[in-house]
Amino acid sequence: MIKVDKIYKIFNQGKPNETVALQNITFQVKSKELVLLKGPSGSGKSTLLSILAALLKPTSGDVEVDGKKIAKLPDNFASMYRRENIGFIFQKFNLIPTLSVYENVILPLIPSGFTKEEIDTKAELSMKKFSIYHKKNDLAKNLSGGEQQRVAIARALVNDPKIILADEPTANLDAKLSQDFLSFLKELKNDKKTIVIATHDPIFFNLDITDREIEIVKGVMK
Amino acid sequence: MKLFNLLLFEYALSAIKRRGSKNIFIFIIFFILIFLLSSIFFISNSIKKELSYTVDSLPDITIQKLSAGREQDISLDVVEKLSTIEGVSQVSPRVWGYYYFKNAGANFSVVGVSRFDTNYKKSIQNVVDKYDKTIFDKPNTMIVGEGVKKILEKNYYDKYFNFIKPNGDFKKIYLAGVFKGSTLLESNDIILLSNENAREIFGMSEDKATDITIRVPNPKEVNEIATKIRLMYPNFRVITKNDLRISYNNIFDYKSGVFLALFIIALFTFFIIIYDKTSGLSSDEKREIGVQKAVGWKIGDILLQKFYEAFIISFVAFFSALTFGMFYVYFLNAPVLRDIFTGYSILKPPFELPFSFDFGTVTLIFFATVPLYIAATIIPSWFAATLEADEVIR
Repeated sequence: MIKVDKIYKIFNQGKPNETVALQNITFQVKSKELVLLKGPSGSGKSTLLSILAALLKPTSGDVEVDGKKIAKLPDNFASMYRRENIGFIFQKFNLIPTLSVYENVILPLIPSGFTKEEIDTKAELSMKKFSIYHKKNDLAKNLSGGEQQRVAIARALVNDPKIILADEPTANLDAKLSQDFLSFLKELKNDKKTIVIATHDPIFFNLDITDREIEIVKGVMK
Repeated sequence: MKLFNLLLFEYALSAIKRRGSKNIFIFIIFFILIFLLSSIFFISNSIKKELSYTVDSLPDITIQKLSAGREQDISLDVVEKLSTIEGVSQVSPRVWGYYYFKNAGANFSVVGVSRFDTNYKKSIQNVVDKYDKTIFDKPNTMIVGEGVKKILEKNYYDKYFNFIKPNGDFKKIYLAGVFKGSTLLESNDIILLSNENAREIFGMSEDKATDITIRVPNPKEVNEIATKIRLMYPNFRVITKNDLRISYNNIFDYKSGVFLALFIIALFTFFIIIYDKTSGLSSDEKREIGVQKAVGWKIGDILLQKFYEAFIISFVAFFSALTFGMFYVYFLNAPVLRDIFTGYSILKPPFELPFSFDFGTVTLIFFATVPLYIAATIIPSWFAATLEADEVIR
C-alpha cells in the first residue's frame, strides 16, 4: 500500500526562479493495483513518481509505503528502499550506453550481496521474459528504441520488486512498440505487481487492466 | 558494507575498459612519473652506497701543500714530524697524478706504491686478475684498470706502454695485471706502478711526494689532529675523511637536482590530471552515478567502485613502474641516467650499480602519488553521489 499525503514540491524555493511543481497531492495506491497518473507535459507527474521512488524529497508532506515513511529517508536508506521495493522504468530508459545488455540488467544486483550464480540466474530469467536474452552481449547504445525499452524493463524487474513505477514509458516508442509495452504491462499486472504509470499517452486511457486514473494539471490533482 | 566486493571490482574493471583511452593516458603519465622518480632514487642510493664504501676506505686525513692557491709536491721532511703527533698511527707519503694519453684523448690516474710494502702486495693480490706474482721484483711493471687496458689495446699497447717523461724521453712500463671487474668504479682509469716509476714519469724528485695520508685509529681524535696540523703548517690543506664524505654528498645532491626539471615536468602533467579529475566528472560519468543510485546503489557502493577504479590504475602503474625502474637500474645498469650521475669522462667507469632498496623512499613515492590520485577520483564522485539521483539523471 502506498499512501501519499499532502505532498508539496517547490523547486528553487525562495529564489527568483521558484517553481511549484506539486501542491497538496494526496492519494493511495492499494497493493496489486495499476494506477495511471495522467496529465499534460510539465504537470508534475514525473516529479511525483520520483518522490514515490525516493529519488527526490518533497518540500513537505509524506509518503508511506507498507507503513514505512519514505519521503525524508536519508540517502543510503532511500537507496536500500529502491533496491528492495522499486522497479523504475524511465522515460529515456536511462541505460548506460557503453555497457552490454547483460551488464545493464544486473546493475541493481551488483551491490546487493547476491552471488555471481544467483545474479546470472535472475538476469537470464528477466532477459528471457522480455525477449532480450539473444542480445545480452550487445552494447545498449547499439540497440533499437524497442530493444532499449525491453532492457530497461528487464533491469527494473530483475530484483523482483513489489512496486513498478513507469515514467512516460511509451514516449520514445512507435505505435507497434507501444502496443508491445501494453502486453508487458498485462503480464506485470498478472504477476500481482503494484504499478504506477505516469503518462499523457492516450493509449493507456480507459484500459481494462487499469484500476484508477488520477489526473494532475499544473501540479494539482483534479 | 564489505570492503571487497568481487562484482563491484569486476564492474570497476569494466569501467576502466570503457573509458580506455583516458585511462591509458593517465596510466602512461603515472608510469613515467613513478619510473623517473624511482629510477633516480635507486641510482642515487646505489651510488651513495658505493661511495660510502669508498669513503670508508680512504685515509682519515690527507695533507696537501698549497702554494699560490695551487697544489705543490710536498717535502718528505714533514713525515717524521707528523709521526710524532699523539694519536697518529701511520703517516704515508703518496705519489700520484694524471697522465694524459694524447692518442686516445684520455686521462689516466697514475698511482705509485712502495715496492717493499708487504701490505700492498697482499691487497693488490686480492683485487687483481691475471696477476703476475713477480710484479714487485720487476722494476718496470704496472697494474691497470679495465678501461685503461682497453684503451691501450686499441692503440696496440697490449704488453707495455711508453710513458713520455717531462724531458721528452720514453719510459717503457710492462703490463703485469688488470684490476678485477668488481672494483671498476674505483679502478677503471687507474694505473698502479712503483713509486720510483711514478716519480720518473712525473719528473718528481725523490724527497717529494704528491700528498701525505695519515691514519688515526680513534675517529674522535681526527678533527683535533687535523687542527694541530693546520696550526703547524698553515700552508697545508688538511682534508679529513668527513670533509670528503660531505663533498661527495654535495656533488650527488647537485646531480640529483638536475632531475628536478624532469620531476617538475612529470609532476606538472600529473597535477593537470589531478586538477582535471577534481574539477568535475564528465556528464556521462555523472549520469552513470545517477543511474546507479536510481537502481539502488548506496553512496558507499559508488565510492567503493570509484576507489577500485582509481586503485587499480594507480597501483598497477606504481607497481609496474617501480618494477621496471628496478629492472632499468639494476639489470640494464641505468643507461643514460647513470652517465649524468657519474660524470662525462672519456673513461666512464662501467661499474654495476649495487642493489640498494630504500623502503622509506619507495613508501614516500607511493604516498605522494597513489592516495593523491585516489582522492582526486573519489572526491568529485562523492559530490555527484550525494546529489539527489533525480537531479543527476535529469
